[in-house]
Amino acid sequence: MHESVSALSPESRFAAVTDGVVCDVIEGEAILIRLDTGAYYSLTGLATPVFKALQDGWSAAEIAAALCAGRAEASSVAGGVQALAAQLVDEKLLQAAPRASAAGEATLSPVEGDIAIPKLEKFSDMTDLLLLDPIHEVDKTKGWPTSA
Amino acid sequence: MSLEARDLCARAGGAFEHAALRGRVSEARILLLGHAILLRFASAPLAARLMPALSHLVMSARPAATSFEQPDLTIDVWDGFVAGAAPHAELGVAGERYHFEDDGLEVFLDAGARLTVLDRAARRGYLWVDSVTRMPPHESAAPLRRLFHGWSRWRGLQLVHAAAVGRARGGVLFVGRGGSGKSSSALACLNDPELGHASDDYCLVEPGKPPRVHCLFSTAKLRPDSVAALGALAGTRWEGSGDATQKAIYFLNEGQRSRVIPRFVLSAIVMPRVTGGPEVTLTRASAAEALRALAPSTIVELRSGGREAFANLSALVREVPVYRMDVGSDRQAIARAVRGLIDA
Repeated sequence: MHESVSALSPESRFAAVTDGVVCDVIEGEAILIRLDTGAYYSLTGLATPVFKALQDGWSAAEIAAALCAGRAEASSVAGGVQALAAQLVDEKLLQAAPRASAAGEATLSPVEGDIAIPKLEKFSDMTDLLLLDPIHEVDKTKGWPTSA
Repeated sequence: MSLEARDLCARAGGAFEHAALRGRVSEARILLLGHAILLRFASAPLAARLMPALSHLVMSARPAATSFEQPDLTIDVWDGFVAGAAPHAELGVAGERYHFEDDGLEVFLDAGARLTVLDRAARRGYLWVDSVTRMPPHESAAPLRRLFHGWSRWRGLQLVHAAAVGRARGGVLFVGRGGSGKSSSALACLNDPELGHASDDYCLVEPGKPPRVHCLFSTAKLRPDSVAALGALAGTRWEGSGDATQKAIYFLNEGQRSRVIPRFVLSAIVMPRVTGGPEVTLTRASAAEALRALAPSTIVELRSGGREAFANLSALVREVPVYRMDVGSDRQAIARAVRGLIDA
């Protein structure tokens, strides 16, 4: 189910993208690579557990509520989470899933002090190389293109 | 579709046999981590171009081991056209590059000029090129790379995009994007008699605790104006255009055999960065930084097996300490820093 980035709301839900994306979390930093484009990404700090919660179907509003634990700034934090979600959807690292429901154990604990959601950092050096000399993946169902 | 790829595989086999009828087929047996790989060339010029980088792996004597009688992989290599046709015939649009993988078969078609096929079930690999003279120079530096990558996946090994230097008790991988200084850092170590060279660009990593690095290609690429700084390369055979702006390929096993180290235990991963300063400084870095420096170029360049490669590399960076190395103008300091990491 596709939902455009502009249609996302604090209540939007998401699901992980597993096809063509690899991801691992090391020492709190999430590293993601798009196998088709060669683009790679980094999420640090609070963005890493927020990404995990988004993959598990949590909405931005629910994530903000968990982080703020009743504090007044939940609305602005939800905006930050929503912006991160939009970036992730835009880069095809997360997919909108309107019918999803929050799954999995809560991994988010209330945060004291100012809450800032780091942005997704993108690296395009390998994408640039691929664009210079692309390799076409032959579709297993359609077969090879022919010059005949 | 697999059927097309199967047909292509059969055609490749047939084309090699046909090419073999034109003249003598030369064979070379190499040994990689205890596995024998048989290379058959139906083209003397191709053998001359591709074998020097692998010469350190060639078995001079024929051991009695059964594995040697039954190679783990047989690679057939030839060039030219059979009855005016390339083995891939009409597949693919001229000038484009393609990759196919399914059902144990992997195919790369490069601009209609080079075909690489790997058939896991038959343990056969094929490399066809339209013309030896039109082969890109890097093919001599890292020959049959895609076939070795495919084979290494069967064997639980990982081909990595990294330079590597070391000695008996350990060594380091230099990782980073192109131009970060990994090759030049490794080459700077050639002047140190205690450090051997295992990789300029690609090497094999054997997972484990600790991981081990294995030399696959005994070559080094550098510009002629850099050679003067590397007295260690005197007497080493090289190939190149002579253009000062283009890197030449040095075959270390021909003139510097003792400088090629076949394998070592991995002590550390180093991310070099060329600075304007005179000194070399090392600072600890995170495993995540190493994964960012190592995984994208390895996965994108090799194309296939990206998911398992990412898992392998993710495990690798957790096994050893990671350092950021600011490289200055003092080239000897690089080797000293590497020795320090190995001895730590």
